[in-house]
Formats: sequence, structure tokens, C-alpha cells
Amino acid sequence: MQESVKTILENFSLNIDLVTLMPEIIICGMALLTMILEPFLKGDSRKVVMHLTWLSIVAALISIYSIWTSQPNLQSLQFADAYRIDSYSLLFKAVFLIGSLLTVFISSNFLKFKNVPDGEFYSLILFATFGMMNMASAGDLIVLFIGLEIMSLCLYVLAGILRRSVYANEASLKYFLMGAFASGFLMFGIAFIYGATGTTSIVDVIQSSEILSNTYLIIGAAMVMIGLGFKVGAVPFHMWIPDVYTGSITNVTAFMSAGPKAAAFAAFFQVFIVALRPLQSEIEVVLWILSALTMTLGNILAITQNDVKRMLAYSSISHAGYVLIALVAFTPAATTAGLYYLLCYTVMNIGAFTVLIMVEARENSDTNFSSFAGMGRRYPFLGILLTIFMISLAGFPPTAGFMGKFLVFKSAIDTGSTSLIVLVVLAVVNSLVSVYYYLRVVVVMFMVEPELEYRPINFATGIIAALVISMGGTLLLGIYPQIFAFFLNTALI
Amino acid sequence: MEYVIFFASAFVAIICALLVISQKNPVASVIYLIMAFVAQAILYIQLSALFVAILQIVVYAGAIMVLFLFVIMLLNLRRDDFGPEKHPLQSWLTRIFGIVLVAELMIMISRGVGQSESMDRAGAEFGNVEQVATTLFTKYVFPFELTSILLIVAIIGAVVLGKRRAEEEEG
Repeated sequence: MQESVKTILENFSLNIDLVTLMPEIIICGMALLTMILEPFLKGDSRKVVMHLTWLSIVAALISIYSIWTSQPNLQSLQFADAYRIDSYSLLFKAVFLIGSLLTVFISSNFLKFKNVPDGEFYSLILFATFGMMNMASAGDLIVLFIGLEIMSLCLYVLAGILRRSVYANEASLKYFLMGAFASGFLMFGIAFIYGATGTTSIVDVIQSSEILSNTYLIIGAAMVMIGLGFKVGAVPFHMWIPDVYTGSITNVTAFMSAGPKAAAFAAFFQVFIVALRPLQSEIEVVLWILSALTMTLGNILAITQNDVKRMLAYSSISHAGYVLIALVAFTPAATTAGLYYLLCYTVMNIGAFTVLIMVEARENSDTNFSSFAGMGRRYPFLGILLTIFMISLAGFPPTAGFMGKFLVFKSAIDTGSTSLIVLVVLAVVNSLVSVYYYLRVVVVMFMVEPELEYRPINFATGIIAALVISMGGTLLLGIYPQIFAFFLNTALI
Repeated sequence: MEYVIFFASAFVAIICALLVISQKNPVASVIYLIMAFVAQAILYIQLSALFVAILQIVVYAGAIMVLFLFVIMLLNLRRDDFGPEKHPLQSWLTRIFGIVLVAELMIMISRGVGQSESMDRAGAEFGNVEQVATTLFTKYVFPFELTSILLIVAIIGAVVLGKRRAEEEEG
């Protein structure tokens, strides 16, 4: 026995390539470093943590770019096939990092305004990003699960980081209880898939031509779908979204609606399009229903909201429905389109949240529609920016939202299946409905007089940086999608 | 000798399990549960499942039960804290489910334990420490290391939500 262990270890190779792991190493290392640094910093020097955080995110983005350019057709399986780094997962990681970067920029002043301890905040953001990166690169369902748990634990805490607020406590507890339940479903589903195929590896499941038990595989797939459906907020697993998004501090809401949602979709794409390909016909039907329900219900509920934050929460549900179309289409082009859509959504949604934060960060202000009254006249430039974000969320050209929707819908129609065309028609109708509530903000902003004297808005450096990046992204992704053509050469599978 | 150990530990396990549900004091219940777990661990050792036995003691008897004890002691429940008397239907359902469970167990035992034809016998080395360790440190080394990050996040999260800050309490 002693010998055999020795031979196993000698013949075993982890096959690690540190260069391609650089983004993860930077993010995880900085998350640990900020926790170590934070107690030694007092007063103004605490800003160092914030600066280190965004610098590390930029460094990770640069390292992704350099991996991308130096190894164009990267396909590497590391840690005994547990970790898969390819161009598709690299792009997903870039999306998460952009979401986190924007969150850090909008957080610095807002945290001070809300009197929240900031050291742990940045550390948790970085850990959550690390978890998401693991989800996008998972080559094994266990890695995917642990990545998802790392991300989720950070989000439960971030949701409740405003500890004095009853709403934040409610959001945190609700998210934790329901999220833990959903994780249980996911874990149980993975166990069933393991029982049916004898492996937890995402790469292996697709290759296993002899599935031991189709019934167990379907049960497992259904449970995984429930678990991940909860994380992306698909109807009927969306119940937590409005309360959690409204109760959390606004910059956390912005963060939650972008990166983690994209990460859950990354997991969705990998499990259902790569690992469970043999079940395609069964999965398509269920996802079709999920997608149709998600975009319709999210839209209908968003119309009735009086709070912009809550409205954006419901609208994020309907956007999840649009991305699900890409999953129903099940083609390589659709996976690319879904990723492009998620990038667009990250940029424009955090942009909208940035303006929301600027409105909220005044004395005695809230996030109701009435808080926006008169803003368009007092700050015409900011008004125009918010208008562009809203137009983009509604999906009008020439903005990112339009391009994202166009690519997703096109990839669905290209499959030529009637059911998908019906779904796309439904999505277009839904987009038209969404114009109502998105433009309502614009109407209030430009055409309604404020009830009281207009309170000035504070322009902080970080906020301006976030506005510039998200506006630049929204316009570039919409007007010059050619420069993102490299996206189209990258597909899962 | 083998039989003596088996019957002794099985006897202790059953008696302790009965005492767990018959005790009025929850703390005493938990302590009997720990004893039941330890007695079970001895049975595992006799089945030459060493690793499971050690896990049983370390994880169940050690970590989880101590957590139970802490929660019970912190909550400091009294008899009248348990709420009103149970619905009669509830106690009947308990009895029915208990009988069903015992019947199921009897059927399983009468059909023969561990001799199902569809399943192969586990090898002598199955589930020993070496095997677990080899899988853990070769095939699953990445998820294994990743759990450490998960634990750190859990600790940070608990501290963030649980600690008090002087400047914050004023607000």
C-alpha cells in the first residue's frame, strides 16, 4: 500500500500554469492582504485599502488581456481537470472584474455617507469576485459549487453590512435562508448527476456515452436548475430579489445585480450546455418556460413600482429572462451572445445605479421616483446620462442594451426553430413594455417640479470615474460592436 | 472477544439513544447523544471502517454536538419555553411513522444485509485513510484548497455581522 500511494503521487501531475492563473492569484491575494492591512490603518490612510482594491482589479484585468493576446486559442485544464481556463471563461472573468471595479468606484464615498466600516467591504467584494471567477472556470461541479458558495457567503454579508438598518437585516437573513436552501438543491442535484454518471467532472459528463441512469440524471439536472435558477433570479425562484435588492445598501445592490448574476449564468452555460448536452431536448423545454415566465413577470411587476431601486430589481429579473433565451438556443453563437449581453447589462445597469447613488447620497433623500424630480433641469448633463442608461436598459439603438438584445435574439432566430421565434417575439413585446417604466424616470426627471428646494448632488472622484467607464462602455458596446468582434470568435464548447 | 465488544457497544448505543429522547433536560440529551455516537464509532471500527469511525468522533461527537451544546446553553430554554402542548394528531403521526420505519428496517434485515446481488462487496481497503487522502490530494486537491477560502470568508462574514463598533453604536 505504501508503494502504491507513492506511485500514484509520482505519476500524478497537477499541470499548473501560474501565468494563466494570474487573475485569480491577484484577486485572492489582495482580498487576504486587505484583511491583514486594515487593522493597521487609521483615519485617512484607510483609503489605501480602497485604492489597493481597484488597482488589483485593474491589474487582474490587464493580466487577462495579456493572457488573451499571448495565447489566443487557450484551452488548458489544470489541477487534474478541476480548473478549466479558456478564452470563454477569461471573457466571463473580465465581465465580473468590470462589475467589481465599477462597484469599488461608486462605493468609497457612499460607504462614508452611510457610515459603514469599509475595510471588510472591499475584502468581501474581492472574495466574491474570486468565487465568481472559480465558477466561470470550473472544470468540476464541486469547484463550481464551492465557488458559488464563496460568492454567496460574501453576498449574504454584504447585503446586511448596513447593520443598523432593519431592511438590511431583513435582506441579509432572507437571502441567507433562501440562498442556503437553493445551495442545498444544487448540491443534491450534483450528487444525483454523480450517481447517474459516476463523475463530477464537467468535461467528463459530456463524454460519458453510457449514462448509468437517465432518470437520476434528469432529477439531478432539475435540481441543479432550481439551485442556479435561484441565483440568476429566474421566475418562479425570484421571490428574494425585490426585498434583497431594496433592503441592501445601494452600491451592494449594483454589485449583486451585475457580477453574481453573470457568474450564475456562467455556471448555467457550463452545466447545461457543456456537461448535460445529452439532455438537450428535455432541458430546452423547461428553460423555454423559465425564460418566458421570467421576462414577462419581471416586466409586469416592474411597472407598478414607485421606488426606482425596486423597479431596477424587478427589471433585473426580466433581463435574466432575456439571457435565458441564449440558453434555450443551445448553439455556440448563443453562448457568445449571452456573454455579450451580460457585459452590456453589467455596464449599463451599474451606470444607472451610479446615478441612483448620487441621488440617494444627499441629506434626507430616498430612492423614490419623486427624488428624481427636477434633476434633469438642475443637472442636465447627469440627466442625459441617466436617460442614455435607461434607453439602453430598454434596448434602443445606438446603445449597449440594443446590441446585446440584438445578438441574443439573432442567435435564437438563426436556429430556425418555431418555438424560439415565438420566444423572441415575446421578448420583443416585453422590451416594448419595459420602455414605459424606464422612461418614467426620465419623465419625472425632466418634467416634474421638485416638491421642495432641490438638494445639490455631490460629485466625488470615484463616482465620476464610474460614470465615465459605464457611459463609455454603454456607447462603445452599442455603436462600435466591431471592436468587440473578438467576442464573436469565442464560444463555449 | 469480538462479540463481547460488539454487544457491549451496541448495548450502550441503544440505551443512550433511548435516553436521548426520554430525557427532559436538553443538555443531558445531547450528552447521551455524544455517547451514542462514540459507541457507534466503535461499531464502525469493528467493520474495519477506520476513517468513518474517526470522522464520526471528530465531526459528529466533537464539532457538531459541541455546537448543539453551546446553542442550547446560550438559549437557556426553560420547560415552558417550548410552547403549548402538542396537537394529539402529531403524537399519533409520530407513532405511525415510527412503526413504518421499524417495519422497513425489519424487511431490509430479513432480506439480508449487504448481500444484494446488484452491488459488489467493497474492497478491504475501501474508505481507509490512505484512499481518502490520495483522492483528496490528487484529484480533488483544488476544491480541497478552495474550501479554505470559503472558511475564511465565513469567518470574516461572521465577524463583520457580529462585532460591535463604538462609533457605529452612537449613530
